[in-house]
Amino acid sequence: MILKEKIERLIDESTLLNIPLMFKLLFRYKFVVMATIVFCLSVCSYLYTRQVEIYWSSIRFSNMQEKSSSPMDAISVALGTDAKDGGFNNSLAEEVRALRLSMDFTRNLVNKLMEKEYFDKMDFNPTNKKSDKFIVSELKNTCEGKEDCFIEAMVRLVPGFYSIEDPERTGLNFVLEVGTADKRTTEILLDVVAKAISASRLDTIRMGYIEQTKSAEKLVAKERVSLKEKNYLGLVKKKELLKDEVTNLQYEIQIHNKLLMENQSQLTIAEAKVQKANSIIKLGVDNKGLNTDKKRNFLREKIDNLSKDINALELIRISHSTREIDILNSLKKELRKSERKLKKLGNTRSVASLNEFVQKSKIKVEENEFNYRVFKGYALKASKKAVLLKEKSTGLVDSLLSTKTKLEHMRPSVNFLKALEAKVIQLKLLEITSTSDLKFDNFATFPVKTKKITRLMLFVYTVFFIVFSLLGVLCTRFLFDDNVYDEEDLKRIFPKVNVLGTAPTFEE
Amino acid sequence: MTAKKLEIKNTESQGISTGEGSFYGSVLKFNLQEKKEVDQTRLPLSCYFKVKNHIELLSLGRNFHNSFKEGNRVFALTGFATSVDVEQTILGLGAYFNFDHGITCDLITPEFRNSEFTKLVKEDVEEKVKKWDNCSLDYHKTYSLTQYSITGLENIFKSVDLISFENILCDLFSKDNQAYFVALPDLKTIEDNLEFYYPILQHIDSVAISTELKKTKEKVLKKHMNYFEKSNIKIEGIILK
Repeated sequence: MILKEKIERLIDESTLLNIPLMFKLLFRYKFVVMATIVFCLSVCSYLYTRQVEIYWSSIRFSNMQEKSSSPMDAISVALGTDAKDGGFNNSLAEEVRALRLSMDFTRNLVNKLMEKEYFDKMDFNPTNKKSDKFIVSELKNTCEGKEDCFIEAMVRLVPGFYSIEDPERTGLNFVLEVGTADKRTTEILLDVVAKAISASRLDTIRMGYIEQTKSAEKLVAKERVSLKEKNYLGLVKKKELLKDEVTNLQYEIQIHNKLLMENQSQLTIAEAKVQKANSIIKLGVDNKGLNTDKKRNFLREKIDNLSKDINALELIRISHSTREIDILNSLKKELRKSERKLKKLGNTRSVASLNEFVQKSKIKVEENEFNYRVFKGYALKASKKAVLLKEKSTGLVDSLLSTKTKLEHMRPSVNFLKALEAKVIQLKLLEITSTSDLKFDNFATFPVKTKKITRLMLFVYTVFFIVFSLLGVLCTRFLFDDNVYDEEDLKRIFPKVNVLGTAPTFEE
Repeated sequence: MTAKKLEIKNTESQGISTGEGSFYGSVLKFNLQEKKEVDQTRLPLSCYFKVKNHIELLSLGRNFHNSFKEGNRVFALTGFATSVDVEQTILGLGAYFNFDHGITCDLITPEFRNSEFTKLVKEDVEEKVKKWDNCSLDYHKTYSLTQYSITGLENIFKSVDLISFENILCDLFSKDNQAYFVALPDLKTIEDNLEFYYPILQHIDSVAISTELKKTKEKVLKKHMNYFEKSNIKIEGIILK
């Protein structure tokens, strides 16, 4: 009952707590108040001094695709006049923020950290207590050499040491901030996380291309199956074979025609030869003609010899003697005489050769007649073959046209397949050549040493701590304090009882 | 109850204590009104002027005197931390009643010879013995103040039977024109020794409870209040220490 009354006294309808009573209690329990204040100050001071000194370092990075490099855009973003809401892709911001929670990313990060020489000396103290040691080598010892255990421990620890502020908060760029209890650890972690973010982004971009490639390849496979079902390749092969066959046949026909022509020519020649030989044989050759022909040949030889002698003598005429001149003249005279005789005999074909020709024709006429028969037989066969070849050619051309028509029907599918294949190649090229769209600054901020709770914050915390502690202590003390402190208390407890006065004391 | 307190109906005695007023003026008033009726002796005890907080004593005494005027004669004081405190308070009140109002007072203190009365009152203190058939009671008397002790009463209680004891008490508290101030021990002692204290309580008109600020517990006070209210004794009020 008393407790209930006291609670009612503590509570005020308008101010929640009875403020005047609180001030009264403040002075009533002044030693408790002082002790509480001293205690709170001591606790806060202790908490401040035991804090780990954290080395903070940060680096900015931006989205190259979304962020314009022009100063005007940056100004418009800063002023909030950009219609694109800062010009940043929210999904990218979310993706970058989500990296910190990604187990894959963190494991990758830990693996990369483990490759560093300084790794064993890194300090990952998450407790904000100086006394606690979280050096990597000690963590390894706690896991007793079990790598899985160690990696799990690191995966749990590492995300707590960096944060990624997105552009919505920082204004223009993403900010990667790292804070650890060791300067070198901060520098290494910042570097590794920055590279890992960039690599992760690149993987994401590549993953997009890979997915597209897979999708395109699926379509390619589907189209290929479709074309295979339609026997596209068979048709193409058939078309090529038919083309070759037609070409070969055309060539064969040409050759055949040529041979036929040649054969025809030879047949004609053979026919002519046979006819000529038969006519010469019929004409025959007389002896007189043969003698005249002998004289003519004799005169031609004589003229020829005389001409040679005369020419030889004329070449050496300077030193000619009279005798030689006489000889020359006689030779000339003889030449003229021989020429006159030859002229009288007539300068016609030699009957001897004709005769010889006739003789030879008689000998060859059988051969020519054989050849003629052969050529004629060949001509007949060739004519028949030409007809056959023509028919075959017509059939092949028809088949070729039919195949071409079928292929023409398949052309859209084929073109689509070609386009898809081109796309696949393009995507593969993009996958190979793509780069991260996140651009990190060249230099990070120099590690700055601070404590998690700064002095100003500590002051604020201390004030709150003291106020709430005092409230708690005063209320508790008041609730459980049964002593009577003043007349007001007496009048409140015993409203009907008078306070008579103060007991007298005497001087000794 | 044979030991029921006596009814005091002497209207003249009511007139005795009408003399209120300032310290010095009250002397004349009593001289004029009371000298022929009551054999009262004003005692300007030196100890009265040795009170450090005289103003508080006047205020306290005035409250008791008002109660006295209402017909209460036997005042009990309890709840004091030490016997010194209660004896000094009783002595102060007795001195006030006597000097300011000319009222004769009997003071019943815990101790007799080692009491504050003997230490502080220097004027003509006589040690006398009051005798009854089978017993006697030592008391100190100086002018109009008489001091008995609880221990003396306890000795009587032990030596006589209860009826005789009650008769003795009736004899002691029989003077209708004077005030009695009884120093009661703490409640536990009373309850533990109720056979002795109960007859005394029967004679008490009102009780004042001492409270030492910052030390006295609320529960203790309430316990006292409840006890005396249930014993049908008027709560005079609270005396601050």
